[in-house]
This record gives sequence, structure tokens and C-alpha cells, in this order.
Amino acid sequence: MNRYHPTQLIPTAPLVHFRILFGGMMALSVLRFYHYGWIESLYIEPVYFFSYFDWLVPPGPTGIYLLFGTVFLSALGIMLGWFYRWSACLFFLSFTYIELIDKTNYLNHYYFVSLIGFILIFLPAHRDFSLDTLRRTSIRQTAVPRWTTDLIKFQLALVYIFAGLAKLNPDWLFRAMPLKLWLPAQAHVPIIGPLLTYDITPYIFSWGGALYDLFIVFFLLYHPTRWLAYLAVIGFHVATAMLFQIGIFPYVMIISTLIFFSPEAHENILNKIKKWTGFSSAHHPLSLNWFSWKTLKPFLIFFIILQLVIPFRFLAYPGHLFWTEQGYRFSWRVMLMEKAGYTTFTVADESGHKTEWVNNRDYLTAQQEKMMSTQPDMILQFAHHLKKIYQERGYKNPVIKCRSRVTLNGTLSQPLVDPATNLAAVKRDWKHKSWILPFDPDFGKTPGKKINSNE
Amino acid sequence: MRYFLFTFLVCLLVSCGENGPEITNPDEMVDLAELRQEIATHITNDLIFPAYQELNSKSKSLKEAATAFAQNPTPDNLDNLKTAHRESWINWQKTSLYYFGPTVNNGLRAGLNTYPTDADKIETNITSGDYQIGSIANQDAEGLPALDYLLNGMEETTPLSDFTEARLAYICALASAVHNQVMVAEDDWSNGAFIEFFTGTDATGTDVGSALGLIVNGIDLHFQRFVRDGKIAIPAGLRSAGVVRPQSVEVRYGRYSTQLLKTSLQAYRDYFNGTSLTRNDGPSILAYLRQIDQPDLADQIDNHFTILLDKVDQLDSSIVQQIETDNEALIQVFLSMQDLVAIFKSDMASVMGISITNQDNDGD
Repeated sequence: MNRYHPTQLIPTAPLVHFRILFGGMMALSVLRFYHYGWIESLYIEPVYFFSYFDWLVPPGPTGIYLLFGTVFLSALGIMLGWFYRWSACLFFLSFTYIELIDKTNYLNHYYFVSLIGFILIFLPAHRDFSLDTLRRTSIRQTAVPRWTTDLIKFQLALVYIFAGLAKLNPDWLFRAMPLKLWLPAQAHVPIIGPLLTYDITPYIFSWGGALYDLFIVFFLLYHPTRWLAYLAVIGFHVATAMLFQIGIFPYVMIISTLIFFSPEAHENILNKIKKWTGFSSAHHPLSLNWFSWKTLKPFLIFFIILQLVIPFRFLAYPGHLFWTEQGYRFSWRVMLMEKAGYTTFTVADESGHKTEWVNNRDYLTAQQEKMMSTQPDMILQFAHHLKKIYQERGYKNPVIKCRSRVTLNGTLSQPLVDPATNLAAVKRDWKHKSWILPFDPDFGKTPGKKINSNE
Repeated sequence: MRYFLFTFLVCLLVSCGENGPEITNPDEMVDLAELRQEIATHITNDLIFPAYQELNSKSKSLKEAATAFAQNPTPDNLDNLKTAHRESWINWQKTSLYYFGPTVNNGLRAGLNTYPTDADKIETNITSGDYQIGSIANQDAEGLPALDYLLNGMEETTPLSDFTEARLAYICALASAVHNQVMVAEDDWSNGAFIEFFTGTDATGTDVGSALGLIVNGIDLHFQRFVRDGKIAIPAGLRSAGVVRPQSVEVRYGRYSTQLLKTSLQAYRDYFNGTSLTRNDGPSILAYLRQIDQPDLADQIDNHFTILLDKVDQLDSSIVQQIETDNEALIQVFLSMQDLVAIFKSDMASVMGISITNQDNDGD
């Protein structure tokens, strides 16, 4: 095998296809978001937002529509290759801004989209079969260095493999949790529905899912197994789309993994498309030196290392990761746990106000309340918001305590937060949250009697 | 090795429809989708319909008793009217918890049971004769709480002659409006399009719009807002820094608010157990929990109702009175309700796989 040369030239076609499919899908996904009324319900109706940064201001109704409009147009810009680099920049910034407004809406696949948006800024995906090349024929270029497609492959590999590693935990493998809870709920799905209530089905899905995530990339990389692997990609993601409420993510993965097909295969297809559309299929070798590999290399290495490290930051915290969620986000932990709970707050005052039981729904939407109830950092963030509100109402030193009951992967619900802690006095930082109570997997079980009798 | 795993995987995933596992005991197989549909059907036919029919007949009696009293204002007729009013209110507690479909679409709760009622507005209406029954602006001067003010709100010694013609006309108008609204909602439940959807194939699912989704999310919303907060938390001052609000008790003037609370909680318990008004059990949420291997949770919910109802039994028959004598007992009832809400929202929703929104998620 030859040594790997990141600057070895390959056809631009895979990048072109990726740009068109990804941009198109993002534009559609904005329309879908609008169609379901989620712009209203997630970004306009709430009176409070769990933003990632205190300085990040929610943009208001007009602002949010402008932001979504920007995402839509810039996604189209990416698809058409029209002012491509500006489009990619705007897409990355506007999409990421929206995601940073509220932790409630965090999904791993939005993080994935943000990362791909960022990567696209640096890729010459508009150098062929784009409106930009019609505007300025001089930039046309039918060959690009191979690191460009490899970076996307790396990103995909990272998602799959980290997702697979995260599944190697006892709950997933030996209790088939949370699939054991989720699959029977889908017993009404046509054809496969009845199979989902078999005791063994969640185990098959759990192990199959873990193996798929861990190894699929290698089979996609290896030429002889590629087609079969791609069929598995389609099968796997279509199955998840049917069974779970995961939106467009399955389709994003189905189109993204096309990048694993050989550049030549992509070029053949692109040439056919060019022929149909009357687009010039003449070869244009590397003409412009847009980013030299040497300049880019250190940044890329930094980007890659960062991404390899972030999912492991949970190791810096004690306790059960799923319970404390310290270092849980941005780590490709998908479909890993069924967590639900109810957390409520009392506010009292050292200067004589009697205890008031806060009605969360006065400040939060149902979805925000649900997310806050199980995630300690959001519990603390909301407690501090309450502190501010009650200070404005004349409380000098509000004492804010919370009662929580949370269930994780089918255990009986138990307190998540120490009810004696005054959360108003706790600092918000990245340190270990010592006021989280330890998780007891056997909570509430009568001795000698198991909750899941069929284990 | 990898190749083997991969082949295994592909067989598994691509043809996941065919390779039905053989290692199962067919006796234990219950079609959960079918069970969900049976629950919706049982709740509709044996709980909701009878409850609405009962409410319909009670509200008809209320309307008739009001007419009788208006025509002939005797102490006996007043007593009859008070009884009919109380029975309608009790039966509303057995109906209001089905908080979805025609109950919600017809705005029945706001029309029948908006409280605290506005005594001044009622008096102004009666004096001026200028009011429009059924308008949203007039809701806090109508319905069962307004009748509570008109029938139970006066001194024992008040002579019957104080029931002026205008007053009697207002009472009759309110009683008929109550009955009319119940009739419309009952008809909508029995003959409307909702039932076909509610007990049809959509009833097999678990998403936010499915029958079970509507039931569970309806319980979540109604129990918190109208039982826990409306009946206890707000009047007991838990939402207002300990400043009690006896004027916000559901039955402010009559002395039977605790009976309404208890009826409501008992109706909730029956809802979970699938117990019909004729005390017949059928497919229920608790049976479903047992079916999906959560017997402990089912027991826990049922035990919790016992604990809660025991606490309610200790209360004075009037919550207004209870607030004055020992508000702490109400706080204990509230905390017990909080625990129940926590069980609904965490354990129950979690193991049943019910969504509260149609939003995307990736299970984290």
C-alpha cells in the first residue's frame, strides 16, 4: 500500500455531490422545521431560554425568522455553489447561533451539522458544477487534494465509532436498555411491529446497533464490502427512521456516507449529470492555490485532536455519566438512555418571605421543563434564573431548593439533586457538581424481587 | 472476524422483517398495539360515555330544579336545587379528567367551572339585566361556581323573597347554559368524528397524537393544572409565598369542596385502573404497565392514590375552613400530589414510551 498523501489529487465530484445533497437537505429541513411550527414553539413561545452563554441574547421573533431565513438561503447557496464560501460561513454561523440559544433543543445531529458546516467553509466544493464557476470560470477545477473528502470521512467515522463505543455499557448490552422500553412502544408499526414485543428483539437491536456503529465505517472504506455496507447504512437508518422520532438525521447519514464511494465513481455520475444539463465537462487541473496544505495542516490537526478529546472529557468527573450528565453532550451519545423526571423548586427568603412552590410552567414550556428536570446543569441554570426573578420581586437572598425525581433506563424514579442544597448559592462552573445525589440502580426494589422479571 | 460480524449485521438489519426469533413463549405474547387500542376503547365506552351520560342527566335535573324553584320559590325547592347543583358538580369531577377531544374542543371546563367566580359581576349582571350568557368575558360569572355563589352564598337567615325575579332568571339562565353545554359535549363524544379516530387504528400508537398519548398527556396537564394547582396549591398559598387565597377555593360558599376533591381523585384512580362507573374493571393503564413488566410501578401508583386519599380524608369538608384551621394539612396533600405528578411524568411516561411533543429527539 502506498503511503498516504493528503495532497494527492482526486476528482472534485465527491465534494460536489456532498455539497448539493447536504445543502439541499438542510434547506428542506428548515422548511420542515417551519412547517411543524417549531420556529414558533421552540424559539418564540418560550419566555426563557437555556442558552449556552449568558451573553448570548435570544434574537426575538423577527431575529429568529431572519436567522432561519439565513440558514435556508445559505443552505441553498451551498447546494447551488453560489457565493459558496460566504454561504458556508453564513450557514455555519446562523445554524450554530440557533443551536446555542437553548440547550433544550440539543441534539447530536445538530452538532454534526454545525461541524460539517464549519468544515465546508474550507473545502473547495464549489469548484465544479456550481453557479460560482459560471460566474467565474477561472475558478473551475476538476481535481482537489484528497484530504478534503477524507476530512468528511473522518467526521463521519468519528460519529459512528464514538456512538458505537458509547454503546459498550452494561445497560445497553446486558439489559437492552433503553430499547427494551422503546421498541414495545412501536408495536403498532407495520410488518415489524409485532416482532418488537419479543423479549429477545431489543437485545438483537442493541448488539446489532453497537456492532453497526463500531464497524460500518471500516466496511465502507474497504472497497470489496462497500456496496453491501452501503445497503446496511440504508437499512439501518431507514429502520431507525421508522421506529424513532429522530427527524432527518437518518437521511443526512444516508446521503453523507456516499462520500465513501470512490472519487472515480462519483466522477462518472457527475459527468453524466453534466451531459444532461449541458454543463462543460472539460478538465480543469488545479489552478488556484486557495489554501496551502502547509498552512492548513496545523489547524486541521488541532481540530481533529479537539474532536477526539471532547467526547472523553466525562472521565474528568466522578459518578455515573448518564445520571450526572457531566460531559454528556457533544460526545455522540445517541439513543443511549431513557431518562425522564420531574424537578420542582421552592423559594424562600432569609428576610421573612414564606416558602413558595414554583410552577415551572410559568416560565418553561413542557419540553423545556422535561429537559431541565433531568439535566443537572439546566436545573442549576433555571435555579439561578429564579433567583434573579425573585430578587426583582424584592427577595433579598432567595433560598432556592429543589425536589427532583428522575428515572433512568426503567429504574423507579429517585431524587437526582440533594434537596437540602441552596442552589442559589451554588456557582455555575465546570467543576464537579457535588450536590448531585449518587445513582442507585436498585432504588425502590424490594429485596429478592427484580423489576424486570424476565431477565 | 469483521467480515463475519458484518454479514451477521447485514442479515439482521436489511432483512429485519424476516428473521423472527424463535426463542419465545407464545402464551406470554400480548399484542401491545392491540392492548393500547383496547384501553382506549374501554375508557371511551365504559368510562367516558357513562360519565357524560350521568352528567347530562344531572345537569338536566339541575335545569329542571332551577325552573321549579323560579316558578315556586319554596324552601323545599331551594333545597332540591342545591342538591341538583351539588350533584352536577360532583359528576363534573368524574368527567373533567378526560381532558382531550370533545371535552377540550367544546371548552367545557371554562364554561362549567371557571373559578373564583366574580360575585360583583354577577350582581351587576342581575341588576342591569345586560349580560350575554356564554360569552368568554362573562365566564367568571357563570357555571357551577356562579351558582354556588347564588345558592350557597347568602346567609341562612336570608328570606326567600330576596330571590327577585331578575335573580331567579339569572339562576335559570346559568342552569340551562350548564345543561346545554353538557349536551353539546356529550353529543360530540358519542356522535362526533373524534371517537372513530380515538378508538380506531390511531389508538394503537404511542406518539403525541395517539389515543394513549392524548390520555397520558391529558392526565399530565389536567391533574397538574386543575387538580393540584386549582384545588389545592393556589388556595393554600403555595404559589403566592404562603399568602393563602381562600376566595380561590373551588366551592367557596358551599361546604363540600373536599368532597369534590375526593371525587376527582377517586375518578383518577378509576381512570388508571380502568374501573367503570358500574365498578367493572377492563383494560387499563395499570394493566398495561403490568404487561410491560412494570408491576412495581403499577403497585406504586395505586398505593400512592391510597396515601393521597387518606390525607384528603383527614381534611375538613370545606377547604376554606381547612385553610383557616390548619393549612399545613393542605401542604401535605399538595406534596403527595407532587409525588404523584413525578411518578406520571418520570416513571410512567418513560416506560410507556409516550412522547410529549412531536419534536425530533435522539434519546438524550
